[in-house]
Amino acid sequence: MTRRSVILMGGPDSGKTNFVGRLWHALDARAGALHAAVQPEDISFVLDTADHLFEGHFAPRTEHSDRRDFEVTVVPAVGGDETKILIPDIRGELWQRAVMDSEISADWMDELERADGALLFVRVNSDLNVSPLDWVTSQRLLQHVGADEARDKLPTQVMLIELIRFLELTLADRPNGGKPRLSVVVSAWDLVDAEVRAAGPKAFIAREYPMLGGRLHDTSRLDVRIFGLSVVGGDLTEDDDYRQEFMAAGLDGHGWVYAYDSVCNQWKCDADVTLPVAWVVGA
Amino acid sequence: MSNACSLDGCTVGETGRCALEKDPVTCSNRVIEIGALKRLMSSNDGPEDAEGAEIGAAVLIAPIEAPSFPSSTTLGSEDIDEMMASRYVTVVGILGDPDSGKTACLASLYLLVSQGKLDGWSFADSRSLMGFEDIARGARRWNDGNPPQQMTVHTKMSDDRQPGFLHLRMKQNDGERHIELALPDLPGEWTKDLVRTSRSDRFQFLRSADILWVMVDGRTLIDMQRRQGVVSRLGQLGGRLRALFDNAIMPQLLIVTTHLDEGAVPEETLTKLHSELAKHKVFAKVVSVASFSANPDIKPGQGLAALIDASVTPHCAPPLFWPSKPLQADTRAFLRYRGLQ
Repeated sequence: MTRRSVILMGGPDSGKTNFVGRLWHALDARAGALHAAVQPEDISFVLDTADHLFEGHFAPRTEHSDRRDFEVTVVPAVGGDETKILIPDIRGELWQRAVMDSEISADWMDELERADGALLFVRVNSDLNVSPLDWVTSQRLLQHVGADEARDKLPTQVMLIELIRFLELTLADRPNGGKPRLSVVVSAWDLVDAEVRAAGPKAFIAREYPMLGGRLHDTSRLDVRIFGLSVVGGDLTEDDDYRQEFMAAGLDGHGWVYAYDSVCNQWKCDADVTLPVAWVVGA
Repeated sequence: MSNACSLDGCTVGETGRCALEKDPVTCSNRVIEIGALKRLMSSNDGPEDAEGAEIGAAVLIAPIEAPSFPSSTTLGSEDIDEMMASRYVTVVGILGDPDSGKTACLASLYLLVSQGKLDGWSFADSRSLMGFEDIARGARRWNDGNPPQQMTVHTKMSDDRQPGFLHLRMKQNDGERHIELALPDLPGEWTKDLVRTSRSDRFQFLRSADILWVMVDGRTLIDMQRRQGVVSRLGQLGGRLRALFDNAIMPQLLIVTTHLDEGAVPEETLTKLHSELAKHKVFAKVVSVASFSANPDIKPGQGLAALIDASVTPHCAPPLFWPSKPLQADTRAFLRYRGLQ
């Protein structure tokens, strides 16, 4: 059996924890590209997270400082070797701090060097997304020496670009010599309007995070795919009707991924939320 | 603090002598028993035995350093050399007095790129992204009146602004052309010193520059009282640059006038500037920019796209590699060439 590790990266409130909770349910349902081969020994982390979803609200931002790993043995739906994947959950603040200081703890550095690929999360409409500086703010900061709260706010796209740099520096080639894979996951994709959705998450990134869009296009070290993700298929926070419907039906049939279909040459909605991970660990 | 004493800064563990001139044997700050302290002191006096070495060596426990990634603040010259070994990097030499608008220009260029508003170009990569971010936030400043004296070799303190290069890789929007710029972030005092005292050792990197930007506060070229002096100094700077390049071909010089939002530089001043530079056999093109703007008719960042275009577009047509001549029926060029040897 092959052991693979997939790193989840992203800032605070980018949707990593909710995805892990939803992912286990999809793996256990055995209806997607990846199936759970056996029930993992410790599923307390994913059960805790899924409980929030079952209760009709999203899991809150990860506050614990200890690492929590989800380790599961999966097998591709099309058949093949069993693969043990380790998905460590980590507070977004840790990645933020790593970017600010260019430092990371030894165990996380080991995990990055061992990883076969990564998922990079960015969430639509997160209150914690930080926009790039504008001229008015920059001019004020340049003119005024001294402490200013805005000096510490790193724009989201800068943080994500630095995380991509970290991945380029650490991830090893795949066993077949191919480039390490990176799934860029735009979470809460159900919140965008129909026009933006039709244009796809790649165009969304290019418009909202121009530097990140350019950087993803320019990497020669990573194989990148972009996905839109809705872990439950709707907004549990603002849309009360959807919440009632979701609570009545449960997770089955809720949640989807927006992925680019290169055969049809267009973005397609797929109910299989395992796709971002399946592509990273897949052949 | 040594492990023999509770006082911060105690030197007994390292030297066997107390900096406060107290007797280590009777000192009230001592935290280890007398015997161990005597062994420690005797080990400092004579050849180290195994036990003494152990006590003496462990004065401070080495801090555990977290693994780190290469910093993405400013780059040193050797980083640029390494990059240039594998691909074409356009090295820009940026000069200008303090407050001429160099930092504002770099900050505004970064803001345009970060918002996807630089006409014709889009961001592809930067190995000094945090350096750009810090500069745009005014998070790093030169020490007032005491700027660094040399280009940084390695990135030092993370909160210390070091002279060095900012790197920016961009893609041309219509087409697949990519450019890489190495933009120096240097104190204005260096340019001042170059003009006043011909101190050019810190500008040796200019010899490998593809383009020179001389930044000048456009307002000083509008102001009747100051413009003559500024034009004269620019002429002297041109002379210094001509001397720096000796007989070598000088890269194209762009005079970048800043603060376009506060008015355009009069044509007669520009004519005078060109003639002042021509005295030193220096020829320049003028580009006007508004890094920031309080003028509703001028957008912040105006002129920067033209500055980038002018910097990466060859200013003269390249010589023909194999010029063709009209065919002459009765000559054989190759044989004639051999005949001349």
